[in-house]
Amino acid sequence: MSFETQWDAFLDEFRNGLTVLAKNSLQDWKDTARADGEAYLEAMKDDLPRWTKALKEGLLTKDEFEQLLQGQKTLLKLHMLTAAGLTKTRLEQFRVALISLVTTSAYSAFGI
Amino acid sequence: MPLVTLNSRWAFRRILALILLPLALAACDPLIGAYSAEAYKNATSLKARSLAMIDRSGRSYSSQQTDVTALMTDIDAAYEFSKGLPKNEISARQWQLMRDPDEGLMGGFVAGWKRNGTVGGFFRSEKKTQIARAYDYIICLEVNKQKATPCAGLASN
Repeated sequence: MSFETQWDAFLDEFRNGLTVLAKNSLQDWKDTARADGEAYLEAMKDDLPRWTKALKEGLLTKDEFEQLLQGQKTLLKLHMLTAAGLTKTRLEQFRVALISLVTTSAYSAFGI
Repeated sequence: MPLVTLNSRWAFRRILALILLPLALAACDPLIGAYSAEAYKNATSLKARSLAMIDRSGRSYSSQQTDVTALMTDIDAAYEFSKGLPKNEISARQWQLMRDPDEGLMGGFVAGWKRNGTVGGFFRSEKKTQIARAYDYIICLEVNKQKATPCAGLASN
């Protein structure tokens, strides 16, 4: 088999692998990030009305109410930090998978 | 220029690209630090201890002070451990939020307990949920350094 034919086989294999890799890694990540964001909002949406009611009923002091609000703000910071960290983990996993793809495609096409 | 020489040059360049591409990708610094079993253990065990401590916050702060101080020291140690790992700034910042008395997580909770002497039942229950969620974020990031895992599956209050 000529080098040209082997090179084309390598490119085909690499392109096909890249399509699957990008679809699995990045599309899946987009869906996960959206689901995590929605889960955050869902978990928080009932908190403020419940706390306000508890404050009015004397179940919470003003200081405790403010501490809960502060906790909410900090949780949002934590959510954003985690989202940034998860993006980095996915990109890192993509980079490692890309190295593996180049190598396995070359092995396969050139019969190494 | 002879056709054979031209083809040889193209072939050489392609082989070079084939060798250099994985090397170049592998040479990049990792974007984020590696999974640490110890960091994971810190987060899961401190979550359990923190939630148990919140349950005890109906009692006076002074009666629990020794245990609270030990817990906060261990949270500080988890922060220092995390900060010392390479490429681990995001996890370290998560722990910083957890321990900071001016933020609304364990550091803030303990500061409030100390200030007020005791903690009400409704607040205790709500704060426990918040702190559990906060630890779940830290655990989620650590687990995902090893393998992509949905955070929702890790959450437990």
